[in-house]
Amino acid sequence: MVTVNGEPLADAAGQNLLTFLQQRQTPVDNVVVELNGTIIHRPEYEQTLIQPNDKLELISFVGGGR
Amino acid sequence: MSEEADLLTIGGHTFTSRFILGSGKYSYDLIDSAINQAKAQIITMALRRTDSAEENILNYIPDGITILPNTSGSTNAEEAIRTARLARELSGSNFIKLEVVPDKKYLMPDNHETVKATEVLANEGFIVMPYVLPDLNIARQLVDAGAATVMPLAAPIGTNKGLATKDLIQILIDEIDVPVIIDAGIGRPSEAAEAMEMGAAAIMANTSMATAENIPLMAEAFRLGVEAGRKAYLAGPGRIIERGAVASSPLTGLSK
Repeated sequence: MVTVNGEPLADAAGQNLLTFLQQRQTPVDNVVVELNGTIIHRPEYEQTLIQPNDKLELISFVGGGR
Repeated sequence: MSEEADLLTIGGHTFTSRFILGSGKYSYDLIDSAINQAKAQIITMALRRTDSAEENILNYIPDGITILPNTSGSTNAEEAIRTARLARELSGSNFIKLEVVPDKKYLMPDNHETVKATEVLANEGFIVMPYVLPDLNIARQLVDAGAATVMPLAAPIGTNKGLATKDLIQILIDEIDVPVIIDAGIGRPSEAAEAMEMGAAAIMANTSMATAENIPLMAEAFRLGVEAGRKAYLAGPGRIIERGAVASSPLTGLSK
């Protein structure tokens, strides 16, 4: 089962990262993707296919002082 | 000294503003006016798991503002290093405000873990701006580890209690060669001015504005406080007479 930000997400497998982010309406300018602990650079999104047991972390900037 | 010449230099980057803004605990709609009133050139922000429903804070940041990502939420060096690497990927810049805070009650930074993370990140080319409890030995270790600044807390995060650690901060200002930027606890523009008079290189504030009734107006007040304090520092404050008094009018020529 694919997990995204700690939550199981069965239908994510098989998609490429760019399509996956677009479908989630995640602003691509404000997200960094960590796939199984490794940062995926933006130009690599389209060629990166989500595998059935992948662990994805999607991280963004939010307001925060310290 | 001309005003143009008085630049804050952090990791080779120069700034005319000495007031760094936080972006937490207030509406993104107010960020633009807070930045304008503060004349800030640097704003810090945190990293969290993406919530697609949430507004994109980057849409609210004016062009030309330097984003200073912070590692808030990190409880040890390892977590902070990971967050810093994610931040660099996101921001495209090497600036990182390093925060390692395992303590949930007082939000005290772990100075030891902060030194460890500074060493790793500086070696990876980050411009490391570590948040610490003011301690001269730790500050020296941070500089040795490659820190670009030292950011001592004035009082616990979010308390608006002012310069509780004043004497310890003064030691850092006197002894540390990188910019000493006061971070956390500054609650009033007068305290910002006082820290700048002491020789602080810059002030970072968030809660003191976020909890004010009029955020942009308080941002302006802080800017004026920071500027006043800086000018006073550059001017060289006058001496203090502990006993008695010294007249400032001539003591001769009195008409009786």
